[in-house]
Amino acid sequence: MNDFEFKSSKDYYFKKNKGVKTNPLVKFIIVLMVSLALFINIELIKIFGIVLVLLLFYLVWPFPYEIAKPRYKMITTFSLTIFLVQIIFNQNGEFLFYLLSFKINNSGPFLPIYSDGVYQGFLLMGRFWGLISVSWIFVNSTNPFEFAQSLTKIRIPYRIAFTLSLALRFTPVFNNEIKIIQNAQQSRGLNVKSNDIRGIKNILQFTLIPLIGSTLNRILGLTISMEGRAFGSYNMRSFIHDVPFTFSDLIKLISAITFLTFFSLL
Amino acid sequence: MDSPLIKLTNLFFKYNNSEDFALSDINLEIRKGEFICVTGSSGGGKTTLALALCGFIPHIIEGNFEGNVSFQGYDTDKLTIAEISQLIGLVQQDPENQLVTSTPIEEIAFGPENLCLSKEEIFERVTRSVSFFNLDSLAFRLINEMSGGEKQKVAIASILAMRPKVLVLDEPTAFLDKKSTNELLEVLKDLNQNEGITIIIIDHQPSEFKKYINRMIIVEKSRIKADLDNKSIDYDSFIIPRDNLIDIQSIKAKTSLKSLIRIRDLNIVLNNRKILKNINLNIKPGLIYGLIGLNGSGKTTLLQSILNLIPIQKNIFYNDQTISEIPTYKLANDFGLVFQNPNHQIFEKTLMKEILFAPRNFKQNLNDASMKAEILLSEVKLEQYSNRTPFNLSYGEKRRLNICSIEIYEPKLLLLDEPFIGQDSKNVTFLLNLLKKRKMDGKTTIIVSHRPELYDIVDLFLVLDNGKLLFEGNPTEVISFFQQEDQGFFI
Repeated sequence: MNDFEFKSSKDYYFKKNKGVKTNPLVKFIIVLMVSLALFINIELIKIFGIVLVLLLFYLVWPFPYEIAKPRYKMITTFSLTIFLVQIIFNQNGEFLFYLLSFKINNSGPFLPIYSDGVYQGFLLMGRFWGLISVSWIFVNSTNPFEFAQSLTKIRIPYRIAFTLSLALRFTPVFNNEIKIIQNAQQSRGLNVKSNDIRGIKNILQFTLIPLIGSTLNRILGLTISMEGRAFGSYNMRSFIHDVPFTFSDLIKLISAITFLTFFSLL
Repeated sequence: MDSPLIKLTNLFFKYNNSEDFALSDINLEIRKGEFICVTGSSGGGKTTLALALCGFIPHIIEGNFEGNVSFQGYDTDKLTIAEISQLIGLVQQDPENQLVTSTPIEEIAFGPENLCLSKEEIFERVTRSVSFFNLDSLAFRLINEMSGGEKQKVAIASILAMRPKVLVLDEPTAFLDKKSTNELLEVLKDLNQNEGITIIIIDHQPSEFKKYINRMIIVEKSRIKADLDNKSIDYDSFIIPRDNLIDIQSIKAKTSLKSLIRIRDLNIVLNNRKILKNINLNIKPGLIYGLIGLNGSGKTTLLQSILNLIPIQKNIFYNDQTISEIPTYKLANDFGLVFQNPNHQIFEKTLMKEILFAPRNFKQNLNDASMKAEILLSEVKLEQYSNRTPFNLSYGEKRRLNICSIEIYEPKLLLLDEPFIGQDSKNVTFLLNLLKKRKMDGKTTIIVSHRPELYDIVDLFLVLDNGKLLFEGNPTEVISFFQQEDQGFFI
């Protein structure tokens, strides 16, 4: 069979999505449910349980799209910062120990750590990792334009729905552009190593101008491309195929809602 | 005679941020079934003319607009862009800027979907566009993972799905290899002759379309300099004299037995795809190399690996040191790379500062560098913009600026990725002079290009095919190899 041939709209949809069979809207609702569960739950074991499951799923499952690549170094640094801020500045609860237990002259020890600070630190870190992981799973498993299409089914105007999908579509493009710009900078003798203070200064100083230039150029090009193909000219828009809501989607949705509700109530 | 599909009368246009008119006193009629080539100097107003022909000026791009543009007798201000888009479609110069969706099939369906057509009608249009360009095997691939040439085909197919009566293509073959160029031109011929679609190609190389076009419009300094029918076109005036090219080839190269760069068993895998396979190569000093191959064969990846811009093992050696151990910003002192997209390599607020960017990083004497920068800017005819922002330059002008920004520090090895795109014959002469000077100075240059002139310039060709180094040899040997292998499409 020719690669392009397919028998029905549904057949086409599944072929295009390389076997990913969950309706984007169902996925989005599950993402919202998981996010809600991360905020409702206050027990660390449950929060980190969700994070562990999400991370394992992310690492094991093959995703058809690669929109957002995880930047573990940045995420770890940010979550450790959240943790440190909490344990240093939150001085509620029971006193546990001093972070710096030595004395200088007659002052010290320094930085008392309290139980509430440690708990809040872990809680915020867990929620942060949970939200990030669930977002990775969503964006890397979802075709942005099918997500936009499914949003129009719940009466969200297609211009707004497409704005969101364009943002998803161009995330990897902009990531790639930043990489190309930094390659071009290095190839003209600029140190842009992110583990070097001078490198970080150079990245901040010289990446913005080409990125703005290239973004403005791209925006003009995209406007011409979209409006030149009648985008936004009519109130409605048709689609080459439907994004089906299957029985399996219904089961997944009910299972996720039931599981997360019981999990939170336990 | 048919009434014109598009008529431009006394048209003047000036961009908001510009002091000069981009179009002056343009009077033009476009009729059904014509196959037109719009050519002229780089930065002369060709792309602006295309934007006016398609109604984007004044509908989307604002500025000082005077005169009249009418489509099938209706003035542009009485029509919407959606209405104009069903009469005329524009394929932009850079396909990256045109593609909106994630896959080719979505991209081609995008326009018909916006017109609220039925599923059956959309599917029929998509199928037809796909078959026109043989995109069957690419239909479900991610656009982000496609090569420049593949993206160009998708961009054209997506405009074709709007069923326009006039198709305007801005340098459509710039990113295409010879095989894809021929395929595209045959499709355009078919559309023109069998479907009656008017084709307008904007290009610096009209001789490439000699077989197809029946009218040529020459735009110089914002005005129409000539409007010629097929019989009056002098194609030779657009061809770079062969003597200028052979002149470079005949210079005796200051080469040596010791290689400048040695590549051993180089394999590159990106996004789970093997891009380069077992490359073994010695780059000799003082020679001009032509790196050729079909779209997606790994040419750009090879250039990037030489500059340690992508993860490599200890496979590439320079001065007996492995390149993977030298940071790119240090290698850059000896190796310069001009990337394909000019917008990615402009970092400063004025042209002068931009050219001095690398000398400043290399801590060179800035007084000497400034003097040299002035000479370079004058050679590429950009001296009048020296203290202006580079972002308002045309595509071709930006590319010339990119080359000056590298050549200012005269690297031992210059890597040029498609340097001829957007350049008229005068500016190609600047490039040829540069190559000549570099060769006389014993410096090495590697050029990635699909241009036939390469056969008269380079000393050695490197032919990549599907990530493998298929052949290495001088132009005569390469031509004979292709003839034996029946791969004439490379030439």
